Amino acid sequence: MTRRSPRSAAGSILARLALGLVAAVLLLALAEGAASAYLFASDFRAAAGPNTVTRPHTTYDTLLGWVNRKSFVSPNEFGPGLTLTTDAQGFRDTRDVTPVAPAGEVRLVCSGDSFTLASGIADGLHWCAQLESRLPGLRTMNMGQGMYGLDQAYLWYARDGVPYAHDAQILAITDVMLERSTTGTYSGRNKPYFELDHGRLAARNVPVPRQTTEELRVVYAARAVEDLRLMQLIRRIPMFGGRRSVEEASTKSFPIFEKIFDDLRAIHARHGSRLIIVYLPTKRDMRPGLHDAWRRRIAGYAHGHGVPFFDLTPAMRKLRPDSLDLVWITRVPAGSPTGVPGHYTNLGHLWVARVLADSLATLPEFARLAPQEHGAR
Amino acid sequence: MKRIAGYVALVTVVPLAMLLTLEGLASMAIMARHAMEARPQPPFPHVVHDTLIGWVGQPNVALPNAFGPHLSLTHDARGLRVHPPAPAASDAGDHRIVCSGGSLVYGAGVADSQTMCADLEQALPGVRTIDMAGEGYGIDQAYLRYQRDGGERAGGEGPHPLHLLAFTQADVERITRASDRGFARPSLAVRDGRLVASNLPLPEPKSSDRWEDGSSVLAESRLMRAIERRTGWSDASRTRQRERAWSLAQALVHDLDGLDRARGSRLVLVYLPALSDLRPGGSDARRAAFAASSARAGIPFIDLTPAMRTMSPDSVDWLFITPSALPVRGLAGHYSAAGHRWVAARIAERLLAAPDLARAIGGAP
Repeated sequence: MTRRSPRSAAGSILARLALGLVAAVLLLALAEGAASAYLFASDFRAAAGPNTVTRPHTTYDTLLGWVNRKSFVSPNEFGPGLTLTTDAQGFRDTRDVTPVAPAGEVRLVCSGDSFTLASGIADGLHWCAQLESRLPGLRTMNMGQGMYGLDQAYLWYARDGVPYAHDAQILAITDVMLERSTTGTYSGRNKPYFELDHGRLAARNVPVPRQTTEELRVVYAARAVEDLRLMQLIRRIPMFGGRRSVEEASTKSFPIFEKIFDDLRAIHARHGSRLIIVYLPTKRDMRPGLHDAWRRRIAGYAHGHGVPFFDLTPAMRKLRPDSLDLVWITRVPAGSPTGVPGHYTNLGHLWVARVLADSLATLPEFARLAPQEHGAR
Repeated sequence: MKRIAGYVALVTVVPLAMLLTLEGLASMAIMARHAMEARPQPPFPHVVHDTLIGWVGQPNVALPNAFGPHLSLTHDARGLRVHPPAPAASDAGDHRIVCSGGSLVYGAGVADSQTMCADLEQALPGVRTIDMAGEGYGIDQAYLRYQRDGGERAGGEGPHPLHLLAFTQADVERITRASDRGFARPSLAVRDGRLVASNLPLPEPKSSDRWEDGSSVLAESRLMRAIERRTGWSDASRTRQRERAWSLAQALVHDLDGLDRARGSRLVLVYLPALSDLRPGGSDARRAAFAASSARAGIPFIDLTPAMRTMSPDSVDWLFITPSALPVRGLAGHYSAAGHRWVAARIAERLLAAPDLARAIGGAP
């Protein structure tokens, strides 16, 4: 019988200890992983979608997915006293618009997404309405809609905006608006989208399938995946960052976006009006990033085709950080819909209206509307 | 058959266990990273250790740009924050108000002349205010500070007919904390109907414990969360702690009222809404109960929450320091200069509307 040396005995104890330690860590990891799986399953099961398939002020539309109800008043849409009113045309306004403009009236359509509709803001305080007080004689028509992509904004304007005489259209683009335009469903909401077919825009997913609450619920529930720790680790790898695929798809879709601009220019040429492209910065635009390239590309298109382009990003980036804090909605009153934080505050809209009015005043259609002191600034 | 069952178990259970273990390891890696990144909160600036209260203002501090350009901070020899007296206060006589409270009353993030206590002098001509608040104070520390240093001649400046104790929900709930940023806090309890501090004298501060922040990392564990969700122990424990804090605050306020009456002063309670109070929630019931208890004891209670809730959200934005407003970190969410002005104006209105309080400060015949 051989006796083990004290050194090898100590080594064996150490090896067992190490093995025990590894086993304990793995067991703990198994328990932690099982707990994570339990939380995921529980969150997925319990996840609820929004209370309504669409906001009460909107209704299903076979072409657009959703559109404003006509002559609708939601007195407390964004909180007590923060009213949203639509006119007989479904535009955000308290007054109806006539197909023919009264003599001397300059009309401007504001197309865009929730930054134009003005989520969280009461009637009359959004930038589109405030342009009227800055450029007396101007009549604006707000055709902004929550969660719209560039595709939907274009389709809505072409169908419901064109019949009403106007001198110009502001197409107010945001980064998210471009991102929404690459797909037939955004955040679970069914929508139309475009593909290029022999160089022409071809609408897909039309008629848009009716939305179901279950579709929305599944999309909301799927967000629980992001709580999984493995997913969080994977997301830290730049290649698998959550936004990367969305941004790549948007970049690839620029030929479609430019075709939309082409078609809009053609519409305006037929009606003797003018397309104006505006880039409304969101919070993400406050830092340099991929969106800068998007803005440059839009600027390049606008420059090449003689379309006025007003990019508000550089001016907003120049604001003091504490002023910027007041541009974005950070808190909402009870009863406000989710998704309002991050939109412009009253001050934000005021700022956009001021900068845009100054910019518009450089165009001949609007120059005569600018008050004397305005023009002199 | 047995072999097939074993094989099936092997190909399902083993990969599943491996996947779960991987998820667990990922969670542990994230927690470890957070623990390494955890930084201790910086200590309260411009304070010195105090064996009764934990910390008090450092005496004789004069910093012209403490919170940013022209945002001055001045302490007198007693460590109290001082402001230039309003012109009308020069012949103010005995109309003095002592302001007690935490960071909001102290005026963290605003200049000496912009604190609510300073603004009260502007809103109530002929009144001189004395700011006895301290940065990071809970309502218990405000009480102890006043009990010790706010005698008849508060700060050596003559009697004061009114004593404002202005507090937030956080100031109340701090009562249950044992320490804050490395400083020990007094531990008050009601024994035989009397308020007693059980851990005096408070020890010298130690360098802020990393685990004060690091402990929150443990709460990120998925295992802990699953247990919490199944048992609800964390919510129940938080609720118990809150209830204890509010009940202790009520006892403290009643004791303070007795002290004030003995000093010939009237105690007035002011609830200062924080951003978290702007939406209806659980704190409403606690505040209502507190108000009812104060009313029963005849202690005036001014709750500014309803008034602030009627303001539009973007107007309210002006009342609070925003995240990028100041070069000094940790001040977001405190009242801005406009917030202090608004609070002082509302307090002044309410004081003048109550004849007995108005008389006490010479505001009514």
